[in-house]
Amino acid sequence: MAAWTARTVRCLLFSLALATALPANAQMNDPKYADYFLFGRFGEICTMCEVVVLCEMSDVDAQRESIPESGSFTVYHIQTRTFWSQIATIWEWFIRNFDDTAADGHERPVLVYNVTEGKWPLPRTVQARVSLEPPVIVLNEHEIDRTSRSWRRGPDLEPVGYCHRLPLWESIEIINDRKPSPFPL
Amino acid sequence: MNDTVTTADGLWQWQWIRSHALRTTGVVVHLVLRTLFGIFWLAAGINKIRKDWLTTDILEEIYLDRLTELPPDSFAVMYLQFFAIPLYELVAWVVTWGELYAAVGLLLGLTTRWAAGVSLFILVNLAVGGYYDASLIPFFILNILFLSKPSGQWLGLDRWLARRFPDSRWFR
Repeated sequence: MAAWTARTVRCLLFSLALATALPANAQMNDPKYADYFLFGRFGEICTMCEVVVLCEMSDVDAQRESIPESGSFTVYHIQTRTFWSQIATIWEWFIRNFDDTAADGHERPVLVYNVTEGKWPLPRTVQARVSLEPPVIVLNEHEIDRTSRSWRRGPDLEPVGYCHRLPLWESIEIINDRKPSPFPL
Repeated sequence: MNDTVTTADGLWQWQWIRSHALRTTGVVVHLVLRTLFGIFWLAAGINKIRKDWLTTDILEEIYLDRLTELPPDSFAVMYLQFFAIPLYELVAWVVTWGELYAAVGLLLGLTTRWAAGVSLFILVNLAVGGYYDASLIPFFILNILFLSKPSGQWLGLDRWLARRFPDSRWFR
C-alpha cells in the first residue's frame, strides 16, 4: 500500500510540475499583435465569429462606416471556422503551450462578393488562411496585410488598395438585401 | 461500491492486468485523458489568475466585447446581459476557482467525480454564455466519462480516502 501511494504521488507530482511549467501567456494573446487587422482585444478572430471586410482599389486609405451604395469594391464575409477546424483548436491550444509559434494560423471559409458598379454577383467561396506570422490574410489571388490593412494582388503582391472591418450585423443585413438570390424565380 | 473497490484493489496487480488486458487499457487511457484534462484546467485557471480575473473588471470587458460578436437575438446575449455581466465578479471567482478545483481534483484523483461535476458545470455555462463551438464536444464527452467511472479509486487519493471514510460521498 505504501509503495503504491508513493508511486501515485510521484506520478501526480510529475503531472503537476509539467502543468505549472506551461507558459500561460501564449502567442494568441501577445500584446504585440494588438494592432493587427481583425485581431481583437482578447485574441485572434474567435472560432464562431464572423467578420465583414470591405476592400477597395485606391491609393488612399478612405475610411468607410458601411458598405457603399454604389461603385466597385469587394466584400469579404469571413465565416465561422468549420466543424473539424473548431475541433482542431484543442490541439492548437495544447501545442501552443509548449511552442508559441506552433500552430500559427488557421483556415476558414469566406464568401467573396466582387461588386462592380453597384452590381452584386452571387458570392464565391474561398478558403482564407489567417495568420499572425506572417501577418496576412490570404484569399486566393489577394491577400490583406494585417499590419497596414493593405490589399495586395497577384504573385508579386502588388498593392491595389486598402481594407476595412465593417460593423458585423448591419453589414450582413445589407449583404442579404443586395445579393442576388441563387433561385431568381 | 464494494465491487468498485474490489476491482480497484486488484487493478495494478500483474495477474489482474494479464487477465483483463482490454479493461486495463481502458483504465490507462481514461487516466491519461483525466490527467490531460486536469492539466488543461490548471493552465486555464493559472492563466486567469495571471490575467487578474479576480482583481479587475477584465471579465466584464471580455463579455462586452463578446456581445458585439453574437447574434443580437440569441439566448447567449440575454445570458450575458442579464446574468454574466451584472455578476461578472462572482462569475470570475466561480470560474477561476472552479477550474483550479477541477484541475486539482482530476490530477490528484481527489473528489474526482465532484471535480468532474464542477468541470461540467463550467463547460455548460461557457456554452450557454456564447462561447460554444465544436471543440467543447470532446470535453463534454470526457466529462461524462469522468463522472460515470470511479477513476479516483483506480488512481488517486480517493482510493485511500474512501477506505478511511467509507460512508463519505466525496471519494466515491
